[in-house]
Amino acid sequence: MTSSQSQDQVLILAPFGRDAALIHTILKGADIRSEICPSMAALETAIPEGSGTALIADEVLRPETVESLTGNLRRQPPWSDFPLLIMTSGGDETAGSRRRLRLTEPLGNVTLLERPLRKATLISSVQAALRARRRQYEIRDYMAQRERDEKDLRRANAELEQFAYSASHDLQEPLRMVAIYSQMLRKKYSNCLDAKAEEYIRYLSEGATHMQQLVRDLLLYTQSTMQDEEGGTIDANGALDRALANLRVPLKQTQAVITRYTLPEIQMHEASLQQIFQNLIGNALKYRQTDVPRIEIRAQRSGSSWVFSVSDNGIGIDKQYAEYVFGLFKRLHAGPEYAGTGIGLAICKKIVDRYGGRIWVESELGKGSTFLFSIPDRPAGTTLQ
Amino acid sequence: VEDNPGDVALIREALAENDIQAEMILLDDGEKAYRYFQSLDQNQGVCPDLVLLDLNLPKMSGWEVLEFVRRSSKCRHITVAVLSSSDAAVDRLQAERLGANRYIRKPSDLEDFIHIGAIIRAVLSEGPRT
Repeated sequence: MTSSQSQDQVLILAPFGRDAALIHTILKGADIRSEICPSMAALETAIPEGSGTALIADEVLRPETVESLTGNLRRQPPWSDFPLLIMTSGGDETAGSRRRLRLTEPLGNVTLLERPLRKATLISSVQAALRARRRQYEIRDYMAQRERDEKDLRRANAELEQFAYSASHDLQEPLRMVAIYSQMLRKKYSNCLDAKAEEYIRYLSEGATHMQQLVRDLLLYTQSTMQDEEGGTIDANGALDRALANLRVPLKQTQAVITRYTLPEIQMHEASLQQIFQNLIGNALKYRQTDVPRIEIRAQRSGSSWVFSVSDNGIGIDKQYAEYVFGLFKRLHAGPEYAGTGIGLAICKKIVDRYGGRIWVESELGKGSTFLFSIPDRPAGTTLQ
Repeated sequence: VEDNPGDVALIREALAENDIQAEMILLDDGEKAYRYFQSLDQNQGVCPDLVLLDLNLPKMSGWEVLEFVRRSSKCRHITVAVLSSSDAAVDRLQAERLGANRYIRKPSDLEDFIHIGAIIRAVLSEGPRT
């Protein structure tokens, strides 16, 4: 019998008298397959092979058999809640019947059927148990499918990152040729080139340089979350220290005033948090107004997450672009004043997404911006998205 | 050992700009380089003073060429400078492990590339490795 067939089968354990044979016949008449088990041991062997439910006569329930069956059921996978139908002796309550009733408690998913059993009661109870068990098997299959899908997705993501990595590396080579030979043209032929030719060479050269930067940034983007699986508990203050240290040149140039509040410990890869701080604070310095940049970094608890914020008194962002700015290579400003490729916020978003958090901006044109991102608590043993 | 004609022309330029007079033997794939050192090993000709070795080559990688040179009984002491576009730390480490004397990253700027001539001059004046 294949396991999918046996999943709809009823195991019968009623070794005394004619009950077992009788029930088998009744169930057969209702198109329900059943198997008579001669002993508790036989029943316990049959359960893990896949069955729908078990009908047990309470005469066989003794402390040691119940203990063994309980252990067996607990060893079933987490999706399993095996339904048991226990046939009790009818009539008046006795000390023996009460004792047997108490015995069934640890068995979990138990329905008591009082004898003498009516045919309709038996069939409907068995059908209800089989239906419940079928739902459990569906959950099992769904979970298995989901696990396969997740594995496929992880593999596809890894392949994509590998592809982006090699592609960006291979793209750099021809670009280097374009960049370097447009310089060579200008160097060797400057005296026979007119202004127009000079201009064209400049476009050629700038185009190559820009594309080199794009390809380099694309590489950074694909690599930005490669290490995140290893994240343990880190001190967010340390990540901020390092981000500020990397920004010391523009911080000094702009004479920015940094106000920082104590940050918490969180579960994250430190380099990733540092990267987010560095990109956000770097932006605050870049998109400043004429007065001294004032930047404030804080964190506060919100539900089961920490929400970090980086506020500035810079040029601000028009509300309609509040989501657009997090897109890959999306920029609001052209020209040398605000140089860049539009990778910084995209990297921040990619990292925050991976931790199941959210990143957003609250801003008004000319009135500064506050970038906020949430990092949810991560229960031990969970994997990232 | 270089398969990209653009880089070969740049190397010539770098040598010329730094007044380095040298005979240049160009091998444009890994297998040709391998066979070249093989024939030197069989006592045909003299070992070059310097090998400029690209890593990403057709038919056979620069790593295999480097390994062969370091195993060669006749040419294992010659100076090898790896000239690669890769900036990966693993590649630098691997070059060092396999016994390259220098690791030079191919620059994207013309002046930086010309400067390689000065590095080559310095490497040559250091003489062969002992």
